[in-house]
Amino acid sequence: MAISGVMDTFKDFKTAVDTYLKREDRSQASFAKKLGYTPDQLNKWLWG
Amino acid sequence: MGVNKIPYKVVRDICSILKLDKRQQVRVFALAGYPLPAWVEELLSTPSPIVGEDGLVFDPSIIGHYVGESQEQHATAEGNKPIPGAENIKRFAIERVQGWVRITGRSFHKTTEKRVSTWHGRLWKVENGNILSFAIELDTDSRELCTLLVTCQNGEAEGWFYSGRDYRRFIYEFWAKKADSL
Repeated sequence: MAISGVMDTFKDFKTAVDTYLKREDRSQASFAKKLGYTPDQLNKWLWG
Repeated sequence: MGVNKIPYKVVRDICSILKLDKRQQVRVFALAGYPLPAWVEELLSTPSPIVGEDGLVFDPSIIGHYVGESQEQHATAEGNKPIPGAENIKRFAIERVQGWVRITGRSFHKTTEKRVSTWHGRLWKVENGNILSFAIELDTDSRELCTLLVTCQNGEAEGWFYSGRDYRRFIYEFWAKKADSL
């Protein structure tokens, strides 16, 4: 369960995802694999 | 967003895997280029004016005393995993008190049975009549403000108890059954 009560503010999508990944101790590469995409593809999406 | 706009489905999967709450999901979807209507965000940022008012809409049968256990979780690469032998919530009570709802509880160590914490709180939000969110305060140690999300149905309760201070250290998943009395 995620935490509520505190509003997270991020400058962009990549910063938000990176922050949540860090909280979960996940790497971007392993997360991409979990999502079913390559790290390169996820990285492109994160940069937009 | 440029030419590499992330598909909506992928954003949804990201939110699901990372277990983001509603507020966080609204924020992430907006940053990904899928803003939700302003009223949704306003709704999420404004706690329901439930406490202290007598217009509460929930199933009255969920009020009562509960006994159960909790399981501490920690974050791993595969998601949150239970830590065995941790804190054990023995009992808690959800009571309606003159127009508002309060929760009180005590937790005990699983093996030594020494009391670990006591806590109390107020109902903050109701969803679907039986999903209750409480803002609670730990009496032990730091008087830390935590949140408890509990779903009560058919004499059983389950949910999460967590702290905003340290997401990874303070997550307790719990299960409980309604008891006649404490």
